[in-house]
Amino acid sequence: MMNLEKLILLNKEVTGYKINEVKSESFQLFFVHKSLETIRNNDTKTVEVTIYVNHDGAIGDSNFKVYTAYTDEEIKEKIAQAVAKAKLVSNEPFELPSKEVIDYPSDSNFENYSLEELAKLTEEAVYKADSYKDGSINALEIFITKSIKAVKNSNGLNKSEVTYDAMIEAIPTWNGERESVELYEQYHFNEFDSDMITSEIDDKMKAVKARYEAIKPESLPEVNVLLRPEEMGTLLSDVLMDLNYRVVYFKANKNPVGTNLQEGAKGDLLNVSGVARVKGSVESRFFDSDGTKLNDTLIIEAGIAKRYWGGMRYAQYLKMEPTGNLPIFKLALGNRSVDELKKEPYLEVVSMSGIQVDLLSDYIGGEVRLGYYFDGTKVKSVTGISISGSLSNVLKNMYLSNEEEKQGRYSGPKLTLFKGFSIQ
Amino acid sequence: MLSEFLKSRINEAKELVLELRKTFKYVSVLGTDVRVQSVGANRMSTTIDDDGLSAECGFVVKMKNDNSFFEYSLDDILGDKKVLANKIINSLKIDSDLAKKMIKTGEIEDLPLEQSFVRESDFDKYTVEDKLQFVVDLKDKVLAKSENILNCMIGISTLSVSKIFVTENRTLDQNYTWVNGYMVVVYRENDKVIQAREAAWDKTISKTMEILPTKIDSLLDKAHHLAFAKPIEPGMYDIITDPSITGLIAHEAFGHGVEMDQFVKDRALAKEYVGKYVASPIVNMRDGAASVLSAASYFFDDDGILAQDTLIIKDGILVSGISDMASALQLGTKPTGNGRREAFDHKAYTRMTNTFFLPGKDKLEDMIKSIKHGYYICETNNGMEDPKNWAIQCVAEYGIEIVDGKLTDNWVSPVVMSGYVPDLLKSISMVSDGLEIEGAGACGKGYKEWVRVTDGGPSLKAKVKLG
Repeated sequence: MMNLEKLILLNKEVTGYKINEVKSESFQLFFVHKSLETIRNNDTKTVEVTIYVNHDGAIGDSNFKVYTAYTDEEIKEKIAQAVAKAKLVSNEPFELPSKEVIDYPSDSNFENYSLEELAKLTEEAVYKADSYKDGSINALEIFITKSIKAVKNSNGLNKSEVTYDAMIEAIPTWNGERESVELYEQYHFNEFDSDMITSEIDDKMKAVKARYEAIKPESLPEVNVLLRPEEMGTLLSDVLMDLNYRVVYFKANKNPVGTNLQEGAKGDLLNVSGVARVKGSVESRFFDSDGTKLNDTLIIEAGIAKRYWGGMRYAQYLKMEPTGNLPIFKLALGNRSVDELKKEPYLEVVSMSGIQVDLLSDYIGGEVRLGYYFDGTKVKSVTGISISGSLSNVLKNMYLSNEEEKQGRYSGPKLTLFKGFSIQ
Repeated sequence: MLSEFLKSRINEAKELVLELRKTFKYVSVLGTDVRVQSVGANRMSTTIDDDGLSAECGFVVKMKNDNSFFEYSLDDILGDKKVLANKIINSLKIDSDLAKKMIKTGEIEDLPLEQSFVRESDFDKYTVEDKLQFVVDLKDKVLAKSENILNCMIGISTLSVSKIFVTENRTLDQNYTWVNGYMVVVYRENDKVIQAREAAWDKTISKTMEILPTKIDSLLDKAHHLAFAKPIEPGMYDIITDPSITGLIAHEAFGHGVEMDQFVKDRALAKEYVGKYVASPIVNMRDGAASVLSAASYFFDDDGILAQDTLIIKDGILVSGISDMASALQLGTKPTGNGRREAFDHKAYTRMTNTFFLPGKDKLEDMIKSIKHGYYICETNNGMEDPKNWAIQCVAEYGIEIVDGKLTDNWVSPVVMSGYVPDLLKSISMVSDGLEIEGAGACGKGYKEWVRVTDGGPSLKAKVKLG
C-alpha cells in the first residue's frame, strides 16, 4: 500500500486530516477452575482516518477505517466518499493541534518480559492466593496487551506512545455447608509485581469469605456509609463529565463554573484535578485522540466548579484553553486516617451490583452485595441491602481519608465517609 | 449482500483450514465485516460517522485437538497459508507447566453444511444525504415544539453485518442489517435540567424513519414529567413493569443465570435448579436469535451453529440453559446457537440474544386496577446480574405512582429495583397479554464483552424493593 498520507493529499478537496492508528498484540489465557480452557493470541491493527473539508465558512468532517486488506484504489475511493460526506456536514470551524513530533516510550517493567511470560507469571501470582480450604478461584481470565497508539494530522503533528494493559478477571468463590458465594474481580496493572497481584487476589478471597458469612439484616440504622475507590470513581466521573467542554457546548451540563457543589458543607471539600498520568495506572496517557498534550488541571477547588476541561475542538468553540481529554480524576486526600473514619458506627461498602449516580436527578444508590457493618462494638458482614440518597446532600457530609489508592480512572482517598444515605 | 471482501476470502479460509488441519483435529475460520454508519444532528452540529466503535473487519481462527481451545485473531488471511499456519502455531505455544493444565475435551462434530443467508434490507434505497436530511428536519421539528428544550439530539445508526464461517465440512455466510434511531432532549423546567429519550428500531431504514417522528409528543411529555419527578421513598411495593423493564428482569434474573459457560465454571446456581420451580407458574421465558426478528437476530452464531429458539422457563419451571460450542462440549450437551463475540478479536462466550417473557392472559388495565398503592415502572437504564447468588439490580428511568388502581401524575426518578431473583420471580402474580421487544440494547459479561441484545415481554405484576 502507498503511504496513507500521500493518498489523502492526492485529493485536492481535503482541507485537513487526522489518522489514529492502534497496533495491538495480546496474549490471553482462560482458566476454568485451575484448568486451562483457551489460549488466545491477537495481532491486529486499527487505522481510522478523519477527513476535514472547509466549505461555506464552516467545517465538515467524516471518518472511515482503513482495513489491512484495502488496496490503494479502495482507499482513494474511501477518501473521495469521506470528502463528499464532509461537505454535507456544516459545523463551527476549529483548528487541529499544530506540529509536534514525539514518540513516548513505555517506562513499564513489562518491557523486560514477553507477553506470554507475563501471562504465565500473572497466573502463578493469582493462584498463589488460592490457598484456602473452602475458597477457590472458580474462573480466571488473563489479558496481557501491548499497544502502540499513534496520531498524525495535516498540521504535521505526529505522536505515538506505547501502552501496556494487563487485566485479570477472577471469580473468587467460597464453599461450605450453605450455598456457595462468589465475588467479581477485575484488576488492571501495567507494572509487574507478583506480590501485589497475590495480595490483591488474597484480599478478594477474604472478602468472598466475608460474603459467605454475611447475613441479610432485617434493617440497619442510618449509619455513616464508607465508599471505596471503585464507587468514588463512578461518582467523580459523573460530576466531572458535567464540566467537560463537549457537554457544556451541547448545553447538556447541569452545573456552570462557579457553582458550589457542596453548598452548606459540613465535611471535607472536594478538590479534584484531571491528570494525564499516575504511576501504575493503565489509564495514563501523554496525549488524547486529537494528539493534544494533556495538561494536569484543577477542575473543582474547595467544592466549587472552578473551570471546564476537555479536548481542543470544543475548547475552541467555547474560546477556552484545551486541557486535552484527561484520563484520570485525582481527588485530593483528607486529613483523617482510615481508623478515625471507622470510629463511629458505619457501613463499609465492599462490593455493589454497580453504584448508580445520576447528577441530573440528584440521586446516588445501589444494591450492596457485601458490606461491613460496625455497630459500635463489633464488625459483621452484611448482604442483600441497598443504599440511596440525594447526591447533593451526601456531598455536603463527606469526609476523606488521608491514605491513597487508585482504581481505574480514580486516584484519591482509600475511603470516603458519607452521612445522609438511607439504608434499606 | 455479503461483503465483497469476505467473498474474496472464502477460498483463502478453506486453504488455511486445510493447512492447520495437519496439526489440529478441528479448525474453523470466522471472518467478519461489520459496517456501521451513524448520522446525527443537534442544535449546534451535524455528524456523519462511518465505521465507529462497533465496526470490525478481520478473522479469528479456532483450533483444537483433545484438550484446550486455541484462537488467533488477525486482520487478514491473504498470503502463503503454510507461512501463516506456522506463525499461528508458533504464537500459541505455551510452556510445559501450562500445557499440563489444559482441559481434556471430546471431539467437535463438524457437521457438513453449505448455506448462504441474507435478510432483505432497504439500505441501498437511502443515501447519506437522505439520512442527514431526516435527522436535521426531525431535530428542527422537535426544537420547535418547546422553548424548554436546550438541545435535541437525533441519530440514525445503520448496521450491516457480513460473516463467513468455514471448517473442513462447513461453509456458511450471512448478511443482515439493523437500524437504530434515537431522539434525546436536554430539557429545562421547574428549575431542573433533565434528559429524556425515545428510540425506534427495525431491520429497515424506512420503518425506523416512520416510527421515530411518531414519538415526539411522548418524548416531550416524558421530559415534562421528569422535570417534576421526585425521588422515590425506599421500600417494598407492588409494581407493574412496562415491557422494557420486564425484559430487563428476564435478562438479569435468568438470562445471565442460564448462560451455560457459567455452568462449566460452577458460577450459576441455575445449574442445580433445572427441572425445578424458579418462578411463578404463570411465567414462561425464551431466548434465541431465531425467537423473534430483532437486533440480536442472526442466522448462525460465531461458532457456526444455526440460530435457535430456546425455551428457558416453562410454567415456572427451569427447563433449559443456553450455550456456546465450548461449554456444550464440556457439559456434553448440544450448543444452542448462543456463541457470540464482541468482535473477531474477542473470545466467544455463551451470550443471550433476544430474551423475553411470554405473554399471559391479563389485561394491563386490570393489573393496574388491582394495585392499591404501587408504581408502574418504565424504561430500562441498566442492570446487573449475579448468576451465582441470584441477587438482582435493575435501574429504571422512572416510575409512575399508582393509587387506588389508577395511574397518577406523580413520577419518581430514577428507580433502582433490587432483591433476590426467586423472590422476585415467585412474586409475579399477573402477566399481561401483550408482547414488545426492545431492540436497542447492549450487554456486557461482567464488565466487558459487549454485544447487541434485546429483551422484552408483556407487563408483569410483582412485589419488589425499590430505592
